[in-house]
Amino acid sequence: MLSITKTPKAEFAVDAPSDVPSAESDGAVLRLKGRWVIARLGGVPDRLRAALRNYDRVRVDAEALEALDSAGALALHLALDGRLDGAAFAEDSKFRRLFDLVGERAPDLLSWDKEKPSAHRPWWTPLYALLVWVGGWVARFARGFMAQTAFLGHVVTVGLGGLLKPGRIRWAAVVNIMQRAGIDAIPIVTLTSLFIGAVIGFIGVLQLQQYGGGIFAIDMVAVFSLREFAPLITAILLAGRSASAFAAEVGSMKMNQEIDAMRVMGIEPYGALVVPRILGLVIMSPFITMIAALASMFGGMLAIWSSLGAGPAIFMQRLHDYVPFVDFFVGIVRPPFFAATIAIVGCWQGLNVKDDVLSLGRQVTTAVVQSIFLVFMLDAMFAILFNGFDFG
Amino acid sequence: MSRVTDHETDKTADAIVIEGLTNRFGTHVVHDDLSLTVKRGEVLGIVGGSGAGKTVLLNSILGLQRPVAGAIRIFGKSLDDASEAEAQTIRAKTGVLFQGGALFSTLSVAENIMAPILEFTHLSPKEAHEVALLKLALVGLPLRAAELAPSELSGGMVKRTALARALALDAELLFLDEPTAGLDPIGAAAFDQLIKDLADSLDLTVFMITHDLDSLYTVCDEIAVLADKHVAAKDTVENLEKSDHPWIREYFHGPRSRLGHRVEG
Repeated sequence: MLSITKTPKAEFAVDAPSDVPSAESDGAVLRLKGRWVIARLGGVPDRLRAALRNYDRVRVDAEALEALDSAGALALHLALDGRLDGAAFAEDSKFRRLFDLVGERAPDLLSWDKEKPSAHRPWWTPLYALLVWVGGWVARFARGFMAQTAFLGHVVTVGLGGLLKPGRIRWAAVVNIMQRAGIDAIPIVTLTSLFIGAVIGFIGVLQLQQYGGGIFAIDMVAVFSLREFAPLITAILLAGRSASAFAAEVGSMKMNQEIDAMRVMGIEPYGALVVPRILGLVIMSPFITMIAALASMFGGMLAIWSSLGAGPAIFMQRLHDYVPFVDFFVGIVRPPFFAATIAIVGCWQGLNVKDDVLSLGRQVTTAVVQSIFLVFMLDAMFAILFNGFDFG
Repeated sequence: MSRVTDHETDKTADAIVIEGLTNRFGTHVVHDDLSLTVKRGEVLGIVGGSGAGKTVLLNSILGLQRPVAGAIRIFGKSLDDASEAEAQTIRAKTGVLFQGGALFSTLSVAENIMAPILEFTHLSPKEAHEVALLKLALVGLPLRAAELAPSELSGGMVKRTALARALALDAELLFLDEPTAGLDPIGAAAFDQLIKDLADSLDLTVFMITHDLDSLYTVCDEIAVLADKHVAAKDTVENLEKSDHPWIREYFHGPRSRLGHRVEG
């Protein structure tokens, strides 16, 4: 059994031969009591240092000492600071050996403190810090821009090389990514799209009924789903799933020196890691978007059916009559661009991971945030681009 | 986590008692009815071929790997049925040096060593820092290493920092998983000497997994040989050299062993 009783604290008493310490060399006797171990030492070192300040020589009496560990020995050494009179622990070889071991290796903490004085802080410190921060940010941005350009150049070169010689692309890796980042994402994308479609359907019916045209909610659901929501929802979910996964995968490979190992072996990391990820996601994204559009329209149909009573037959009829192919086309050209953005950002952030865990987390976060931001930006550009188009 | 004051462990109980330990991964049996007792104050070396289950044994003792069968008691207490306070006491009394160092990568070297001190004692951060610097000096690291991040350290420095952290609380029971692997011979010899000094003066019990024959000869009181899924022998080096067990013979008489050199020279 372990005894859960409190053990005695580290204690000490200082006996001076005369009550008033004179200026001349004065000896004191330091009597140690209790357990001088790290768990029972709280507050003792400072008190001990203060109590011994006025004495030139100190004799140590360890008669009542129950236990000593290296922290206790260190506290003694620091407090005595070379003023030990005679030998400490002459009667106990174990304590003595420990005390000597610590004394011999104890760092000269006082000189260490002098070497590293705490920094002087003038009034303009915050201003200076702000300037340093801005400067650092600008320098990082410039460096990051150059590195990012070089990375993109690499990817494009390797990718074009792959187009010229398709045999050089690692198709096994591409198919693996298609499975992990594409097919495995279908359930969540489908479910999300279903909900969004249903919401559009309900709101559409509610608003359009005010003008007596509730049935137009069908056109609205279809056009919204095909043109905007399916590509965007797919891209956002892929960014959340795959940008983070790519960044984490590539990042931990980098931390584990796997990428260095590839380079040394003559395996091009861009060809082995980055290109398959981009390709796999780009290939899968139109299919997932297609499924998302179907799910979204199905959700909208259910909503309209339940709130307006217009069933599947009417829905299909209006789809045929009033939703042109151009809406589908405008939607389905976007996902490959979104997917490439997501994969490139994910891999790029992964390659930027440094050696510590914090940077892994930071880069994964950045990958998700940046890819979602870029997806929205691209989407806005596409919307403007296709706004005036009429494909007849 | 509550702070544990200096509870005493049962001085009469053996440091580690393992009875009938069985570990299995799927159909792969690692340990079969393994029994081992580590007495207090003993420095025990664990040897065994690669894949003999040395690290699995360590993980079982530390409670990181739940064994299929068997009982493990540290200071007479099983971690499984100890109360939370008792388990914390046992943890505060044990120090572990993991094979890869397992330093906290977000903390500096000094903060790594201070972590158990601040967790388990009432020392102020300044006092804890002093103790951490002492441990740094004890394991032979320069004081300027204190402010470095683990990612900035060399392999040997990681080992030393991990040892310093394992020693932070002057644990009564020290687990070392290949402490001298990756150190240069001079550093390894200093490491051995340090462990010997600390074990002598602090009454440490040391459970050391090692492949370093020099460590076995200089530091260990006894050596337990893991072979055939259990402890094939536990004895002093002198007696193991005379053993008939084929693996043990090969180990102590092989071309890289001291005896092997003696025969060749």
